[in-house]
Amino acid sequence: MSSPYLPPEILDYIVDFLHDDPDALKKICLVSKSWIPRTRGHLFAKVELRYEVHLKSWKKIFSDPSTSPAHFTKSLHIGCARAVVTSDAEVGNWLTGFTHIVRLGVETRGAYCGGPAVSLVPFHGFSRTIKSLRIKSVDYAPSQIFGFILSSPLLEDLNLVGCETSIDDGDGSDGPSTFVRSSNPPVLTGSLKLFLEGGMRPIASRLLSIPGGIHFRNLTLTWNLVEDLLSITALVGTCSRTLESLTVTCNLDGTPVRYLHPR
Amino acid sequence: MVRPFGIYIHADSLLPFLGKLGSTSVDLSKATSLKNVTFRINLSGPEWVTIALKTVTPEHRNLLQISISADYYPTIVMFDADDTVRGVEEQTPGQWLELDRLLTQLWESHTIPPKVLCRVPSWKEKSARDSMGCLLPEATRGGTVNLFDA
Repeated sequence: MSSPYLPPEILDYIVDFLHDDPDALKKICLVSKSWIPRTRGHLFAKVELRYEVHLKSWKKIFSDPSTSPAHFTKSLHIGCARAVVTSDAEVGNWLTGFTHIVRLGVETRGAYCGGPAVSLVPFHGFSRTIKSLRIKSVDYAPSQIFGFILSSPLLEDLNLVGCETSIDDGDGSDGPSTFVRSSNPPVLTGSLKLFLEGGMRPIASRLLSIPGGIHFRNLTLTWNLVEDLLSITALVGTCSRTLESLTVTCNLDGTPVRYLHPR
Repeated sequence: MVRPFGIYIHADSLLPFLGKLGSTSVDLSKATSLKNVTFRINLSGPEWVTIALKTVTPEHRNLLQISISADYYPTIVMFDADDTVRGVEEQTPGQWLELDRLLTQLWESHTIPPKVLCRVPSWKEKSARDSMGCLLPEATRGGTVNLFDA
């Protein structure tokens, strides 16, 4: 029996129609080898490596970046960033296959308990294509984060949660220490979300110093320290021409109810 | 206001940051492209929200919605010697009343008034509607705000 033939445009239509149905896409891969490349574009568009076991599996299965489906990936979330070491960024290692990352999420879980110093350096190779960056961690110093931001010329959206700004490594005016300052800084025209328990000043002051300014349309800012209000005021003022949506959450510590007892 | 009577042991300290805030808040006067504004009020009371909303002008023609969420608000519960509750007082009632007046003014001053959403928690026997009715009486009576349970 001859192999079934479908015109490429019909196959594309079918595969695109099933883009959000991974089970169906996996079954399509079994029909014919010629159907696999198109299907992989959807199957690997979003990769989440939440735990170290996921990371190890990926590195084992796709040990050769040249044949890895990583280049299909647009959205990468790494929930075990401490397991990603600087050597992972070396040429030929698994991370170099992710050449088209648009959305990057980097997360570390729990408190940092020693071990090798964590760094954003392994992710630096992605930065030329990233439009959306989310960092949820207490491991990275503001200068590291800001250096990464500056090296991402297409960056539009920024979401920073829990970053350990209390171990600030500068006053925010001295620029990044980890990366070379970019001659083409990001325009930052999308959304900015800051939830920084150690205070937002170290990050906010650096953002406000970006050449060309910041032009966010959406600001979602959580006010954890009294002095954060000054940073919020400055960010709103700087983005006032472009601002369409503003959310300010007051999250100051305290007790909502005071109980008064007669002595 | 809390009316002094007897001698009380304060179960927690006063809110030291309230004095530090002064009249600082967000200036929205130049952000005339704003469509949505959301404020989530905590122990700081609503004063900073009122100050921020005072900078909204008729030039904010695109402003469709103002959301105010009082996740919880400072409350004082006073007990008698036999541990029965003598009364419940809000610590910042004047601030809420000022916000109340401002919301009503904002609603009346815009040709297309922004939708005002308020979320408050119910507290013991007080429903969210009762709570907001006390905190924002004018805006609640006049239908300026739409109430939601937090």
